[in-house]
Amino acid sequence: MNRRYTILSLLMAVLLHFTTGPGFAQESAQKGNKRTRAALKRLTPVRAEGLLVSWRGKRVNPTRVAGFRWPAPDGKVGLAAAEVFLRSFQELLSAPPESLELSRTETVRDRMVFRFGQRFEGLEVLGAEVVVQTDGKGNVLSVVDESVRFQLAPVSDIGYAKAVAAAWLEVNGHEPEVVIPEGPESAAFARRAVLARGGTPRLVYRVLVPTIPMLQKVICLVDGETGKVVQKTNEVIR
Amino acid sequence: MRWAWLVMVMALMAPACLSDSLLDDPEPDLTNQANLFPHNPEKDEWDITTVVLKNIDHPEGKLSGPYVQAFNCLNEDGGWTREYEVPLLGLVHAQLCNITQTIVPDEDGSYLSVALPEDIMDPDDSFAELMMFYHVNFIHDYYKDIHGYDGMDFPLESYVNLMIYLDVENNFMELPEGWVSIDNAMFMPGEGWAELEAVGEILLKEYLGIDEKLDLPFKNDSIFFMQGESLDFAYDADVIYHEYTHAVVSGDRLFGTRIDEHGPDAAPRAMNEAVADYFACSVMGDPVMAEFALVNLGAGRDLTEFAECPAGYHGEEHIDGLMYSTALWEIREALGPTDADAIIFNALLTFVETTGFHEGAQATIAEAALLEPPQDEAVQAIFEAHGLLGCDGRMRSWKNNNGTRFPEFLPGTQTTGVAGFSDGAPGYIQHTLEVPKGAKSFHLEVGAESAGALALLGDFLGGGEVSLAIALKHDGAINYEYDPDYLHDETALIPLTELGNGLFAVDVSGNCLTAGTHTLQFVNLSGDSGIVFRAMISFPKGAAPEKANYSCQVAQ
Repeated sequence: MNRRYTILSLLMAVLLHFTTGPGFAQESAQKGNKRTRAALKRLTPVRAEGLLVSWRGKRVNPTRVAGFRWPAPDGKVGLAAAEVFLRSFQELLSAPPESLELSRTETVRDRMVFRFGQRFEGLEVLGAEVVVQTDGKGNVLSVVDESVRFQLAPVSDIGYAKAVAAAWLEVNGHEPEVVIPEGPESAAFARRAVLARGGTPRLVYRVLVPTIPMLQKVICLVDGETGKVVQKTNEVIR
Repeated sequence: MRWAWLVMVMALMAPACLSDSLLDDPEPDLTNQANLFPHNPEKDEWDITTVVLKNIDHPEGKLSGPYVQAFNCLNEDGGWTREYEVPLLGLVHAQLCNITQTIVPDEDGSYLSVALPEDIMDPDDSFAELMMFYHVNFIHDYYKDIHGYDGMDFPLESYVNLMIYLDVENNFMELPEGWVSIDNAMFMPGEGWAELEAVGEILLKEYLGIDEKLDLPFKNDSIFFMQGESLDFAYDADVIYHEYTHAVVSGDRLFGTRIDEHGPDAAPRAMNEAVADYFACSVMGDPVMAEFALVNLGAGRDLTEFAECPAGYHGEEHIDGLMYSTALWEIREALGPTDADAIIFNALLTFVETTGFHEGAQATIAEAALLEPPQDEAVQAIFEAHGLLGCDGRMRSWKNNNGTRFPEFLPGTQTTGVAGFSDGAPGYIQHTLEVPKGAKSFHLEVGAESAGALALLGDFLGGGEVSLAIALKHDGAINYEYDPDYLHDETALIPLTELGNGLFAVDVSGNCLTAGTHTLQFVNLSGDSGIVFRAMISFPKGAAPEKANYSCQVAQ
């Protein structure tokens, strides 16, 4: 390697070390891309060791950034502070901010936590969420990004009836002997959504399968194109 | 915890204060006083304590208030009942116990007449109802007063002594009949009942031609305590606090399966159990979880026992949760309950469905950094000692289990929410197996069964048998990728041969089986989750089996 560039690299590493702390310098050298690293550098750590940043696999966006205090401009507090943070730090998010929709607000002491769900063409993106935590003074303290950036190609949609039949067959060992109406009136049985975790994003039907109420509340996700059951979850917590 | 101690001291002093006041006032004010267990029968040595119930707003003094409605459920007629003529089964009579509020104040305004029943297995006892009302109020006030959390400011419906009566004319399925009890307590979100009701009504109409409203008695977020077969869970305040904390965590946090380069990770649900245990214990100031309800069933959890990742990882959320909850308890001991509870709760609120150990620890460390003075270094050291920072690599040395060690739990192809696992769900743990020099094959024997909830009810209702394979790799961990496509790089995927009675076996041989370290990961090919309760590997002497199943491509 050219000696001049080696010295330059060393100088930059030292500079990075003293501006962001050793922990972050180490992580940022390995994770993310130029844009996410630049966004992280705009956050002031509250600890000498730097920001607390969680990464997952080959994602270029961190799943969680904490250990900083970012004051929202113009005296904004609460939701306004969270929203301006999301616009100012889009580089930290997988999904564009306009695809996020406030789903829940929680307040404890001087903290407010805002949860945003992700939508794609009106459909819920299952499991996709962004969480922003602020204090009572308008400082943003952490952001969690479980949103997903994806494209969804048009598919040949199997429809509600086949989706419900597939879910029943999986859970109960037989298809329903009932006529499942096509369309929104099937909401009691199924609704369309997007599954964007663990593989190629796809249209799915979220199907409730009646079983034993006190032991199980079984939700099946059925691939909207192939009719294959890709998830079965019992939502009863014991 | 200072406030908790204050409450305890006040409770212990109550009889003495009462005696003093009797000297001055012949008619002391007994309004809303009641006798109950402040903890549980085991810890309280079956001594009841007098407390003052609060937040009662029912006009007749029944146990309802702004934060809890406590309901009993009596084994008598009057409960939700339906009878249907079902093909093959004949007349099926299903009846829920009669939901009611049995407790009203005595003439003196107290509830002191509600006593511990002589038979603690009494399926209708009012004492359980009293315990539930007092302790749900208590834990609500903890979250509200200590944390300022207003997310539970609604009358949480809380049911005790739940049982179901079932009578089937042609019971060839051998369903349980009569009043059925289950050792269980749970939390159920309100929307879950609405969905079940809607689907149930459609089924009735289509299957049996009956067009009627089911009108299930449950509409809202609720916690349910069944009348157990061996004890009453409502007698243990720890269990009430544990279930209540699940309601605080709610269905949108810590409810999914994480995925990473090692496959599925059960950490989120383990952390859900861990925080439920932690806050139950912290409120009590006692690290032993449910001395009465769980310890007596052989399932007690002590948060002072050290548990670390990956040794404490088994894929079962209550047990795995100990890795996290024992770290939280250590933080409590280091920082004191006030600061520890605050940073743990603040961190919890930022969790999502799939938050794992590493991320949860980082969130807690970040909160500790905001304390005055900062405590992040101390908190980080504790999480590091428990192996929770960087515990994504669930690699563990293989140890034979002849059935005496805790089993390994496996996800099913449709229990994780991960589309890629729909043909085979890798286990949570990757085992490193040392193959000795000269070994030409190894023999694996496994005992396994389905672990889904339906398995509890028998094969007829879907609790089928498990189908297994093993993934093997001869140079390092098995790696998984998910985006854009699902990829995994094991050297061989070898199905296990089912021998019957839940036993499986396979002989592994081939040119890949060289001396040194190999990675072995169970793969569950069946839909429901599974339990590997026995797993033994031996290296037989002599020639390898004729048919190799662990072969590597040889470089040209």
